[in-house]
Amino acid sequence: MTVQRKICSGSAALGLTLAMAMPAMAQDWPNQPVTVLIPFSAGGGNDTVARAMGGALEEVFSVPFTPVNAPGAGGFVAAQQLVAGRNDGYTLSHQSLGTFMLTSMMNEQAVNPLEDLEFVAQMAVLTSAVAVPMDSEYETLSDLTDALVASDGSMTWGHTGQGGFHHVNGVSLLQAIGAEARDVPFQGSSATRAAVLGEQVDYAILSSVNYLGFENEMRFLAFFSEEADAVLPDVPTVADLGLDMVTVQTPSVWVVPAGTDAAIIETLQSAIEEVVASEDYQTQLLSLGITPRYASGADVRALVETRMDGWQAIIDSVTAE
Amino acid sequence: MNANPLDLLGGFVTLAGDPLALTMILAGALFGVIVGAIPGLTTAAAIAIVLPVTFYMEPLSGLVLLYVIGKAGRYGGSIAAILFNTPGTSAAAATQIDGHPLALQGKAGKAIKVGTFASVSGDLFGDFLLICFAALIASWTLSLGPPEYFAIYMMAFVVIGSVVSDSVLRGLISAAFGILIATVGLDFISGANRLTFGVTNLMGGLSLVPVLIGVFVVAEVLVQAETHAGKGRKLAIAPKPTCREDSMLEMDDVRRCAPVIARSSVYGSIIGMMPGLGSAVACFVAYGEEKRRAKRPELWGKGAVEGVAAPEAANNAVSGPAMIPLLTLGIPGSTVGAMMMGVFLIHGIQVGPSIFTQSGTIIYALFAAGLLGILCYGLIGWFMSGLVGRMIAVLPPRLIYPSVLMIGFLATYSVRNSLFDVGVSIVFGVIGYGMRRYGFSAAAFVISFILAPGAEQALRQSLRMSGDDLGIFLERPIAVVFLGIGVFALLARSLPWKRICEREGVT
Repeated sequence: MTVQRKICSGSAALGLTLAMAMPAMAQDWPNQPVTVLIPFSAGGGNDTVARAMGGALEEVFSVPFTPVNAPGAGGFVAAQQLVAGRNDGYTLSHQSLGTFMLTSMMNEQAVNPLEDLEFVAQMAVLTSAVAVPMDSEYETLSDLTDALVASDGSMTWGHTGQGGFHHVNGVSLLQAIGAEARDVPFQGSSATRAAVLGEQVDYAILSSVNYLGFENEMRFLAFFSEEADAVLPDVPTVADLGLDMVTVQTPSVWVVPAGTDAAIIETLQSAIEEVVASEDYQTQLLSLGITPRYASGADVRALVETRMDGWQAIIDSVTAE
Repeated sequence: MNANPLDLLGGFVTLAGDPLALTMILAGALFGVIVGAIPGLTTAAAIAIVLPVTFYMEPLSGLVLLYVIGKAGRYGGSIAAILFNTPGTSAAAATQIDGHPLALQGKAGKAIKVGTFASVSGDLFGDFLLICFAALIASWTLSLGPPEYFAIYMMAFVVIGSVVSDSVLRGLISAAFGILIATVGLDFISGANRLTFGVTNLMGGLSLVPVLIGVFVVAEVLVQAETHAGKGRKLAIAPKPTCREDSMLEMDDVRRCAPVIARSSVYGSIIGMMPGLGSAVACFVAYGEEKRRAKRPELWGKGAVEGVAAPEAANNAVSGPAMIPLLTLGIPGSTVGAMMMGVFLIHGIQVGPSIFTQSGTIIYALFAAGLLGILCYGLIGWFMSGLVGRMIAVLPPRLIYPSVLMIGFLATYSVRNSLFDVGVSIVFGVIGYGMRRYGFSAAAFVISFILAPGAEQALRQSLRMSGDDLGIFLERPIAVVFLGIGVFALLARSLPWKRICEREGVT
């Protein structure tokens, strides 16, 4: 089996060399396996969305969409790998756009999201929530915020990485109530959830995808959004609770390197639109705890451009602390 | 949530009615042993190759295939370690220290049989814990936070310290170099570049496979090229067995290894329960600890059967308990775990505390398949070993080492289809060769390279939890216990009376 694979990839490389001499290639896309770089560790929310979409696209295009986890630096490890490769449409990257943009605003990165990448389409949206262990004394968000305000700043909270949207939402909450606490980054949401369950931290910022299967171990106090979550509609939002704060949701998008053939992007975009509209995908995502939502690459770019200033304000306050 | 024997029996019944899953047990065992035995093709790589196929199978068959490959691959790695002095997988890196000297004495067959016996025993022990105590262990694992992990890493550093070279200074330099190399890449908290020199390929850090292939495979080939250059062409890698006993597992070996296997299985299982540590750590901890306890320490490193038994029992004992955090807490402790989690997700099986009630049938069938898988790879290994041992004795090194080098490079390339990684393995091959020439320890280097990132992460998380107060390690009882074991091991070894006893007593 191994040997066969070697031969296959050998002939694929040969095919690729030939292809570069033939511009008509874009019409045949995809005729070989597509690699999907996933910038998070396996098993988390974004990983799940990317794998579900990859699985659906395998059926549409009849070629494998192989997920490769390349976690780190809010998505820039994957983005750098993507940009360093060929822009032939055979390597894509999943990105959690909120986290990705926030990271680039926090520290200048080698990849400029708006110049070096093309947005293909959005396929889902993830929202942050405050999570506490089941036997935590905090029953509601105000129980927690009261305790935070009364504390000396030594309470601890977990998140999935500096500059991620969970982190920014957590900081935004603390600023809104005028309290301090110690944040502890864990690698990925599985590790963060384990830290909550084991009461290593007082609370953590997670999303509903991390809740399913742990209904008896963990309690969600509030979502960082305006409208109720599609998966857990009974959990209040910070808006419901009258808390005036800046929030970030993160759309799941796919990106390709700038300069990728427009025909390839279009083919992929309409396939994603089709998949997101399908009942199978909707049911699958909701059962995984994720809200499916489509937007075209152009709409995603427009959203990013209009929201940039607002996000920059949060980032400035995060880095200024 | 605790199992009773009926659940497991039900698992066997489910399995018996599923011919595809049964086939997958055999296929997984065979594929795992073979891939594991190929230097550099790790278990994770093997699983990555078959992963796409499993998405089209029924969930049980897919999971069974991956689970059994994981088990068999950990075992298969020992074959290459013994025969070629190049570990097939990182889990077998400790096996070569005594396994290869045995092969050089014509006892390759015996070494492989000891390895098989130890792997099967360790694996069965680990699965026993998984099946009987999953719930209990899961809640214990949860109580471990960053400070406990840091203490465990420190203890592992100290215990493993005893397998480093004879020179303490050179061992320490090798370990420090491993830590330095491990820091290459983006800082996990701030995302800042560390030692990347603007090279994009270095931003994700140096991956384990190219470094491992370089230090062990490429360096070994260089050493062999030097040794054999100008010598007679007929020289074989390992001499033929001199007597029947050389290829047999004797009663005496069993008596000597049984206690070693029992203790190493316990170390392996405990390490397996904790996500992120893995087989490579288990095999070195077991080897280090057993060498310290050894009744005949002068034989270790020169072909002690116990030196094969300890790491092999430990690395396979990891397999079962490593499933506990994955199934009950959704924490994949290893690459293999992460990929199995993918299969669960794709098939809509929700991992978490309720998995035994919601998906109990499939989980117990998976456990049953694991037990059958152990039996399969054990039989394959046992009966193949003699054949392989005899074959290797006939083949000349000028055929074997170039092939090993080629396969090593292919394996390196195939992980990420990256020529950069092949370059990395060549660079580390030269470094590894230099280390051997000047008496530095490749094992100490590799193990620090593996442990350092986790240790750094745990330390920095702990300090954030405590607001930069080091006292956090003393406030947490479990952390204190692990740190205490480390300090005790260090003292026990450095005290003068201990050395005098050793000189006067056993030898």
